Amino acid sequence: MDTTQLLKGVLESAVLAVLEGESTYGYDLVRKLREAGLEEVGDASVYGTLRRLYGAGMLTSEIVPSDEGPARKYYGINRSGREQLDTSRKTWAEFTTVMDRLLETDEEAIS
Amino acid sequence: MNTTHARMTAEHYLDRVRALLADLPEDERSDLIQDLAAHLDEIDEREIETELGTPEEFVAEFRTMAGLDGERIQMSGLFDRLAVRADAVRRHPTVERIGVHWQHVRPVWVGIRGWLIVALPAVIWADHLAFRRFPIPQVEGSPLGGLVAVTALTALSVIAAQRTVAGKSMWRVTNGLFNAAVVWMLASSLLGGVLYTDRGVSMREDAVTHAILEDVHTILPEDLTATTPDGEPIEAVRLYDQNGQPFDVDHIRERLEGNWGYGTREGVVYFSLDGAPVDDPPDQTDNLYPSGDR
Repeated sequence: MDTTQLLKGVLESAVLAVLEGESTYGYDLVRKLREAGLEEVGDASVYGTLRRLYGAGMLTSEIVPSDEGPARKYYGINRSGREQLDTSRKTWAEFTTVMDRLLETDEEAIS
Repeated sequence: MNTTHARMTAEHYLDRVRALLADLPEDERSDLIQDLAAHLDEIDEREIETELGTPEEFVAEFRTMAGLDGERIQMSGLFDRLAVRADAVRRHPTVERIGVHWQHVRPVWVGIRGWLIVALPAVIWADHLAFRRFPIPQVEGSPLGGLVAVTALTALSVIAAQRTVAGKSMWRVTNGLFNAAVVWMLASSLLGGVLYTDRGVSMREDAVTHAILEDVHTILPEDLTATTPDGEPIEAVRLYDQNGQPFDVDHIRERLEGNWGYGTREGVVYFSLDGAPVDDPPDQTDNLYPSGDR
């Protein structure tokens, strides 16, 4: 299944969910999303999403020194971001319920 | 993936992305470039465009997800506009091919920039005294000073080149200053040569004059002692030069300094290194030493 378009729609929630667990920097966020199963997610999409969320006031940022190279900007979630994430969870739950019902019906109709 | 392009190095890729995002604030762009550089470190350069798409595709996706599609392009300054223009030049096929070859030469260039920055001024302004032991140039007459300067500048050059890839503007500026300094000094060398040829007497020759005078000061005798073949001191000795004039080091020094004015050689007798007087001073004064009035 090509999940590219689907990913774009839900990436905002996925990014917020990862940052709810711990603050991190851009590329590490990409790795975490891929490790979680979103192998198709692109760097540019994640960086773009981070930029949009930060611009919308849902993230905090902090410059953290690194032993492996230059200091990195770590992103974390703030109160506004958590509220957005809660809203997304409810929306997603409702959406999947509807989709599950539709898809089950569709499969039954096919069979 | 655009397969018509020459294979792109990580640095080239980052430069393109940086230029394509020239309308973003520098700190935002640097954050993105830094994260992207970390990713590129883990990718074989042959796979960069397979993994990330072309720089244009990467930036287009970034803009879409960041919600920047409608904002482009609000240029924040002259340098940003220049960056976009420079990127257009870089994307020219001929320039791209040169860029691929340049990547092979670049490590050598980065390695010798520090040496050039120390050596070129020494050559331009100190002439034949620039090196006592090649390839260590002298700084203020000191090979040790030259060695320290070359080592420090070479280290800084390498660090600036490496950090430039990570995208921090401070290091990009440093890297650019290194390049500009070397180019300027090379241009000065050429310009200095032209002036020397046109005017006969030039700043370069003045520098030679003073350098030679410093050398003369170090070789003039300070405390002469006359002895018999048995080593017995001879007292009340008087020394005379070839003109029958009393030998007086201080007098010689005064006359030398008086005769070696800026940009003139009049009234100076030249001697070659083997001590023979030179009747017609040549334009080139290397390996000649002045010795008082003619």
